[in-house]
Amino acid sequence: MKSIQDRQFKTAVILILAGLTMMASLVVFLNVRGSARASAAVRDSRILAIRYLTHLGRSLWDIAAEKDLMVAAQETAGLILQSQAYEKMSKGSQAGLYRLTHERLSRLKELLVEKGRITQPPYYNPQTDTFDAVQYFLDKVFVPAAELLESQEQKKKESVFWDGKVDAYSTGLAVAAVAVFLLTLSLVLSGKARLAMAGVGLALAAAVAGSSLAAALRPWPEVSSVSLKDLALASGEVLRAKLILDFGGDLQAASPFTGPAERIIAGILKKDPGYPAALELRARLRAAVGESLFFAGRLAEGRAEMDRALADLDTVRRAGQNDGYLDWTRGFVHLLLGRWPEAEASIERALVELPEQGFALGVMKAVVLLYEGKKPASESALEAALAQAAGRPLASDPNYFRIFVRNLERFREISPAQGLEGMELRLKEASVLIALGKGTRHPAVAATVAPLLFVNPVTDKRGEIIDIPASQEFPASTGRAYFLLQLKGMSRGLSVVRRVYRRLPGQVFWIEQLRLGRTEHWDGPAEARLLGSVEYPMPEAGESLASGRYRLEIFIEGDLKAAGEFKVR
Amino acid sequence: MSEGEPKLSELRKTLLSVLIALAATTGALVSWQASRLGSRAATADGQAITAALNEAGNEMSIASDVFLFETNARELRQHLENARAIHREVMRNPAVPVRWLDEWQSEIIRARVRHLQLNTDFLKMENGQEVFDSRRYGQAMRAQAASEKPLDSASFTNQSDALRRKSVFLVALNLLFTSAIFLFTGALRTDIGRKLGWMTAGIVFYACGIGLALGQVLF
Repeated sequence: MKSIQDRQFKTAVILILAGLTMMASLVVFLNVRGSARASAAVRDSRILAIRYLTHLGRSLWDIAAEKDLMVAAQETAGLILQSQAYEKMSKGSQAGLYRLTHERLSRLKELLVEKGRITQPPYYNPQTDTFDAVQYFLDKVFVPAAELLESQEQKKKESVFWDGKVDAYSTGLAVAAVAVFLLTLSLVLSGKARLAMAGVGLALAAAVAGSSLAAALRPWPEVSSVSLKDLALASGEVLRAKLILDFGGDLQAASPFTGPAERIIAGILKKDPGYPAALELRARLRAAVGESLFFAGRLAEGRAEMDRALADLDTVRRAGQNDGYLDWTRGFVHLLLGRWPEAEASIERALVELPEQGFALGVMKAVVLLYEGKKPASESALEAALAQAAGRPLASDPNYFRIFVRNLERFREISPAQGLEGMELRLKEASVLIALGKGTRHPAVAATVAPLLFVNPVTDKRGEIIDIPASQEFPASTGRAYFLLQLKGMSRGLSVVRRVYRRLPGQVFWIEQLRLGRTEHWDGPAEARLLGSVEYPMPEAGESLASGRYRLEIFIEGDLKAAGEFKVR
Repeated sequence: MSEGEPKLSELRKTLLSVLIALAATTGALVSWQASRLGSRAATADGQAITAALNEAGNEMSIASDVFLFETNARELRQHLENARAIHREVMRNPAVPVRWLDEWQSEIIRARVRHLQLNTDFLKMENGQEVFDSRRYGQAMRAQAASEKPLDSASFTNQSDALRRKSVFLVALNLLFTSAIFLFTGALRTDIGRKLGWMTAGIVFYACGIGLALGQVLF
């Protein structure tokens, strides 16, 4: 009887062993399949990374060619304007010659316009003779790059996903080997030890079966190629909207881009619910819109929008995605909502994830600490941020400084705190010095600048200036706004930097106009009285100062020495 | 041997043992072949990446050449057009000053310089003007580069994907071989009935496995 039981036990164990071998071969198959998918995803990710870099390289040439064309067309337009003006001022055959020149240049401009892409609609508006270089950049460079980068990111995630499965199967196979050993051992043992070995072996085999099944049934949440394309398009729209808002525009001006962006993202989330990149993009859009509403005085709407942005960010975090940029956005939203401890914690987390962004995050941290009443800590955070900016100029370009200065002005309006003004001045001076490559703190400068005097020069028929009456106002379509610059105690090599800010209608803050700024190095006498002008780089091409209020600041060696305001009607 | 158990002839025992050994060996051989195919797939992956890098270098070079030639072609066109317009006026308008002739000459010289800097093999006529055919230039340069070294990364990725599919399929065949071993082992045990059925099923699984493996390796 005992012998029969023994045989039956052995038969059962042998059949279990054979079954386990079958299961192991199934796990090996899954393992090889997972490994193949992971390898293919790694390869595709690398190829996409190369294509992304190739696209950027090629785009540089394309953009250079189109920009050349645009500048040539602008210059020709300026010459056409000049010949038209001379034609009006001349008479008889002389006027006829100017008309001929004007016609000839117009034909040349037509040639230029018909050859390029940036010189064609929708990037060129023949009615206003203006170019939309930003949209060209977004369509031809940014959106295709964003699509390639997101596809590459998806492939990277796919390889990590399949590698995770492969790890689970490999572990299962190792455990299955132990199970085989224990079951084989039970064939040669007897008594309780035999049963224990067989029991543990069986349990391990069951665990392998369970974990392998769980790994095999976990599906890869693939994002459709349509959604990837749409995400890139929506990123372009969001970037355009953010550029408008960052340059001081209001929500109305940004609405042609925020509306489509929202619709595209909603479409993506309908097709691929929970797609983290789409949620993150929507959070950024909502945060930007919320910020704009907030500073436009629509507090309740702004708060609601920012809370929705936070909800999206939380969803992304729950999905296990956090790249530091989420904490950055979260920190900024908390800062706007006046939740200082949450803002500080988010910024600290972002700083850990993104140490290379220490300038932008550090300035935000300094503002938060100031609001929390920790002035010394705020000052040291600001100094650390500026030191990082000096060490990493590419991560602290003038656009960043401009946005932070604008934000500080907004905070001063909405939520005044002692120290904000000093922080703004410190940022302005540091931005000048960093651009000059002279550290972040200006030396003691003996030179002085008299209060700025804006003037409207009167010229005679030959173009000679005969009078310079003071004038704070300039007529509409002014190409140059003149000012008298009176300097004393100057020495050779001193940097003279001017920064120009504009206050858009209905806005409570100044926004720097980067193209109106100038940097010069002094090569004149110790004392001088100069006639300067605020102008765009090509006033001859008809580029005039837009209507509104302007602020001019003069820095010598990074030290703000004079400031004044004027208005263009 | 206890009572009631079906007896197994020595010959059948030997046959089953041989079959088990054969199935195990075939499984090992198929796994080896799958592993070889996997290695070839990895090599093809590397070639695909190299090809993508080649493509990148070639595309950059084409883009910079096209930029240069297009700039020259545009300036050539402008200088020629300007020269023609000036010449027309010089010929028909007595009020035109003499210095316009100098300007006409200068424009002709500038046009000639630009023409020399152009790749004239790729000029096309458009409304009576010479225009650089950047599209044809790009195609010709790509074809030329492809004739020197393999450039199409897609052919390598397709090759690698096909090899991986074969490799995974071969590994999957092990399921048939282990099933055959399972059935042969069952037939070996004397306390299990229908031994012939187990053995036949095992042989069918084994034959299917061999057939499919040969099909994959040979075709």
